[in-house]
Amino acid sequence: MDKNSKRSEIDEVKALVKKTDKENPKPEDLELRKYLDRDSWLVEANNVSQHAINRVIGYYASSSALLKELLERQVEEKRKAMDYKAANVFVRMLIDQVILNNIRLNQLEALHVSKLEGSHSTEQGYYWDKRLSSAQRRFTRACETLAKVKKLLSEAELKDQQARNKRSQSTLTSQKLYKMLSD
Amino acid sequence: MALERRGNRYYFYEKKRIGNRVVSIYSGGGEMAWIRQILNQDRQDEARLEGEKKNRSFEAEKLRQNEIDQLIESTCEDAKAFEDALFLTNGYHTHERQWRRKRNGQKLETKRN
Repeated sequence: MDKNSKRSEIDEVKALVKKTDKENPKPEDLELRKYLDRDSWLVEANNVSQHAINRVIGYYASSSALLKELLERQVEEKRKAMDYKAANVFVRMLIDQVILNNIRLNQLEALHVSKLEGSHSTEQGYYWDKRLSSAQRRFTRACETLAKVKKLLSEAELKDQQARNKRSQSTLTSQKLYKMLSD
Repeated sequence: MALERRGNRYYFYEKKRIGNRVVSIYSGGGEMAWIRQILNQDRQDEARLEGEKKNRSFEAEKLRQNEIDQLIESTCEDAKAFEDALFLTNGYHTHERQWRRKRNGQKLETKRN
């Protein structure tokens, strides 16, 4: 999938979200599920996250191979801690978001300290403060999103399980009834 | 700092702020005043160039940082589009930028082709 077609698909999803998030959406707008069912696209989105992680690490550790290695190991550790392998593609994408934003936040915290410890202009002070707050906001948002989506998916799974149990229960009851009637 | 003329001679005075007052400190007259003036001009030019250099490196740094942040922002936006779609298809709607479950909690049906 090339970059442009991916971009246009994201724009389509965004437009559909806008059209659907209202009281009575038109039935032709209710095509969101098809995008979510497209695993290949989500895999592609994950690749984009991985690329972003690599870029941020590359920038952070451009002069030190050791630091690069350490950061890559940290990413792997964080993925392991968040059960990356067992998660579905969607959750993986969100885990990558959290890790990406975490790396960026750490990076900006270090930069904020180093750039503002000596003499600096007010403009520079504002700039680094703004950068740091936006990184903190992005990181918090990514964590919240991951938590919300995980909760939503586990609720949906629970409901499915309940429905399956109910179905098997009713099958058992009808089998018992059939047995009783045939005896 | 300034070169000042008193009668036919030139004098160089350094200006310093002491508390809320600016005081003139004598630092040379005649040829020495001119030498001080030239040295002072050089120092000012150096400081200006240094400032410009710092500004240029700050602008370059800003560009680099913006590029990385834009990359992160765009991946976050992509993820958000899918998150929104997931919530909508699971019977949620936005209320004051928060996801809330609809009262009947119905899932959206996909149009069948």
